[in-house]
Amino acid sequence: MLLKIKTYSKLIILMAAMLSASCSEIIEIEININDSHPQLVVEASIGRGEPAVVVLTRSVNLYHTGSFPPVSGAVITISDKEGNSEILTEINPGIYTSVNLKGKSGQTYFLNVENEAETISSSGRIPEYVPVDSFRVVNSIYPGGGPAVLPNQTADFYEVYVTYTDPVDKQNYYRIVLTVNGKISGNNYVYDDRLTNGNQVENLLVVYNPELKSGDSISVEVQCISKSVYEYFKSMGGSSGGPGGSSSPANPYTNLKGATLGFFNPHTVERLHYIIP
Amino acid sequence: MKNGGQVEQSYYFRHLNYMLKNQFMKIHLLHLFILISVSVFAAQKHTISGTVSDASSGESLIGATILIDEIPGTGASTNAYGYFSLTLNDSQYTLIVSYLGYKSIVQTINIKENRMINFKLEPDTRQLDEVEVTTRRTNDNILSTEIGVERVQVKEIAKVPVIFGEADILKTLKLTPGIKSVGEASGGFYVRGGNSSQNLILLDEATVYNADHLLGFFSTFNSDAIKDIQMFKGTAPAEYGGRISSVLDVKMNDGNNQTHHIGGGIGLISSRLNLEGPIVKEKGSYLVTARRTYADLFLKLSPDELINNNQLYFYDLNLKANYRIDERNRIFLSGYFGRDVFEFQERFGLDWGNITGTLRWNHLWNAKLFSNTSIIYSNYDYKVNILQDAGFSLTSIIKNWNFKHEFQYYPDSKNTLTFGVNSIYHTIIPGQLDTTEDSDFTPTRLQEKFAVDNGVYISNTWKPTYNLNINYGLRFSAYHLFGPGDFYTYRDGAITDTTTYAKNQIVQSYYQIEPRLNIAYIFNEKNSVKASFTRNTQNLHLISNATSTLPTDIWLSSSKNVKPEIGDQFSLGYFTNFKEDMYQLSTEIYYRWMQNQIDLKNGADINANEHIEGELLFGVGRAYGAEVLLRKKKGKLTGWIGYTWSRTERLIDGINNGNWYPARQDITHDVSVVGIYDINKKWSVSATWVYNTGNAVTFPSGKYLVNGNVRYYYTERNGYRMPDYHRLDLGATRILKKTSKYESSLNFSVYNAYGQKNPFTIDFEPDENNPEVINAVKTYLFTYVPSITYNFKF
Repeated sequence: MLLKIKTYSKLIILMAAMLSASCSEIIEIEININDSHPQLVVEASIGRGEPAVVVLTRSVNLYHTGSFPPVSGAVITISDKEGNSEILTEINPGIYTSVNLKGKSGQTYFLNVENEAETISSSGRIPEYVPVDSFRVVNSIYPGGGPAVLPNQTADFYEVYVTYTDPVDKQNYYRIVLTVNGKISGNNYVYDDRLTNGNQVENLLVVYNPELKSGDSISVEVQCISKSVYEYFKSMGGSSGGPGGSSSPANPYTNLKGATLGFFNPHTVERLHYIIP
Repeated sequence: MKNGGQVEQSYYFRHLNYMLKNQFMKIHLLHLFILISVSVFAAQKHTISGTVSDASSGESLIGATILIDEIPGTGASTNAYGYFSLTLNDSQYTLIVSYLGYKSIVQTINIKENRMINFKLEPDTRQLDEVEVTTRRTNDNILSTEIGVERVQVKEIAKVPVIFGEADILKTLKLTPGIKSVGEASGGFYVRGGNSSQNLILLDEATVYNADHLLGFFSTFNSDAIKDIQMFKGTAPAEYGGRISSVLDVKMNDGNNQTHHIGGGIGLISSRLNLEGPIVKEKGSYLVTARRTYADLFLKLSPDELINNNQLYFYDLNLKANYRIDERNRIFLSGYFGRDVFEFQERFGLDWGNITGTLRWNHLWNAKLFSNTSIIYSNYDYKVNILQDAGFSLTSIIKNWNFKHEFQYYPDSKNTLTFGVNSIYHTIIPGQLDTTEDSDFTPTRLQEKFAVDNGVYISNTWKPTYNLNINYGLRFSAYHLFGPGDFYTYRDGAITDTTTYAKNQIVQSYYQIEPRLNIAYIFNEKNSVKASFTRNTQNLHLISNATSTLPTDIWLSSSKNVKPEIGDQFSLGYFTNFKEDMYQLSTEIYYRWMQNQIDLKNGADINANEHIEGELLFGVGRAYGAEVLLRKKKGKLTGWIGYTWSRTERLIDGINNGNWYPARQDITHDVSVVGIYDINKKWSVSATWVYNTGNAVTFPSGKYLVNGNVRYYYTERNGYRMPDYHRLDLGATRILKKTSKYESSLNFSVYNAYGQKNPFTIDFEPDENNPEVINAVKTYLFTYVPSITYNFKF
């Protein structure tokens, strides 16, 4: 939607290419980057009808090669307004879940993470569930359709359509987690209802992948999320610098207290799957 | 559009009334001003006044000088309409009338009564190696109070090589110190640390809200239509107001009032056509100048549907007519229409453009009092079209009606007063969302905003002694935002108060007093020092969610949440000429303090957002620097070398943990070299070389994982630098034919002659084969861009 305006730098590159015989080119360069202090990263969520899951890792220097260190031995508590409380169990290094406590729509949850000298807290409410009206995937040569222009062009685009009917009486925020063959997409698909309040909304997610074949899967998880989580994902900028970049990138606005990186996402869940025929 | 016209009218008349009443007050103020500086002489005095114009075209000459040979340091210069007035003791004098590029007139006159003389200067067509015979005042830069002012000659611009061979005043201005762009293909310009939205860009007095075509590859100014360009780097006198960083005052040609001419140019991607001639010989003339790019016409020839299915072009139309009713009255009508159209694959469309119109009336009350009355209209709008099935279009408009009434009073040879009133009625239509029938979007129309910006100003250029030249002035502005509608107050992004206002009810008012002072101390004909203090305020604010100026940026009015931006600047300069004024050297230092600066939260939606004021962050800015400019004005080789050292920083609540950080346009060292060499009557060659420190940029310092995807960790805003930027452009002009009836020439240029791959963006991306490895990747736009243009005039 309006975000298309932000594909500004691509627009410029396109214009430059259209105006001039010399096309733009991409080359790797060396840029010196300072070391950064490792930060605790908290990925916490509780889905409607699902246990709380918290993943703790640490950030590393930009050019660090190797894995991201998990953080073990933290004491993580999840509790709700009704006084239910549970200390999460570390099932794998850095991965913690609740056993008994499960998310309910309309309930407010409190997260508390204690690790060495660090204390991190957050809270949030699971919104009302909005069902998905339809989910379909269309395979095409160009997004939006159209015949092949070049010989031997293959249909490498998959258009994923997710439709729901936005409730008219509330502000709603949605997130769609797109998974292709088990790999979660790096794009953040979040939507508000500022300009679509009360309408049936069809969101289009475009997957370009020439390697997909019969039997591969495309899945979506549609979440109703809170405003603060919406702002977290929306403010997660790119890494572009220079005149063509979008606004100066910065760390996303977290809803955690005591940490810079990560989020606490109480949300509803609806999972839908498509297998390429 | 309901009620729009009605509201406009009632306000217009009310404020006209207000201004007329205040004329009396103003005249008293005026007397006070004169009393400060007028010394009384017993001798009989009389006034010589008139105009200075080009003998061949009748174009009035702006800034031509009339010097009195007998009294060094006494003289006058022509105003924006070519008018001058000089009051002297009765005696016999030798007048020297001169303007750069023209033969001077030396005339002896005996002043014993008021006289009106219209001087017509012949263009100087002598070859450069011939001996100069007449004296010519070439040390204006030393004697005037002007500091922080850049001028470029239209003739000079034509010879400076530029991308795609399209002579461009903005691109040439950016080659002078203190005026910067950030990389190529980026819109807007930055003056002494200000943002690009803080420049007042005027075309025949009308505001041009967006001076870029094709997102910054071209400017909206077709140099065929331009007479005079003046850039004030924060040091503008009191008659200008409304932006805190700079004023770019562009004046269009009037059109030849002697003979009809057709001129034009044919280039690789654009063509120009220029018609001018007398309406009534000597009395009135017209000018029509048009330009259009045609890259899209070539695109159509491509067999590739990905290419031939796109549209990309812009056009410009400049129109002007003037008529001299009698010796005392002259009217001018000028207009500009420009539009950019971009359409991609019938899916996405974006078009935008400016419209301006100016109606002016020059009136001579008496030999000492000149006035100009203008009614000015400006409009800028953009439209985004999404043409897919969930289609919608988004339109946004900003426009203003501006009434300006200005006087120039020449009481004696030591004072020139300028005073006036101006009242601007702003209408902002922030966003209108229209949808197709099956669209997901709800048609939305954001509340229109109405505001009146009234200004009263007075300034005097006072020359008490030969050594001193002072311009001092005051501008008083009263800004009112009006209903109807709901107006919100925000705290930390949340609404804390909502008030509903009726039509014409004042929502918020801001009053500002802006002092302006420029002083020159002249040691001698070759050396002077100058100092300046100015305050400027700004009530219209441009909000952008990209680091570069975009056509879809949003204009906001000062409101309950948004306070007027205030810029204060001190500057100091030393000016010297040597080798018979062949070389001019200026050195200036400045410090600027900016209040109520505005930034935007990350990821904020600015388009069609009723609550955009809740997404704003506020703070302050500071900028300081030194600028050195060495110009060579005469000889076969002309040009300049400019150097700027500067710092530009911001402190915004909610950014960079509340610490000072460099603004994006913080460029430490900036060098530009421009050389134009006239080889012989047929050939001239030119070269420009630019070098600057990379602009400040935010790069990640670390990385982390979210949902199995690598994310970047940022430790500070703009803590890194882009690689240094440098580029050489070459140009050559061959005159094919030059007679008094017909002129033609070919212009060749190569942009980026040594093919430097200056980065357009730098991105960090996980390696394709090993996602644990992060690579820095740069994208560049242009290496060598050759072009050829054929120009003609008959």
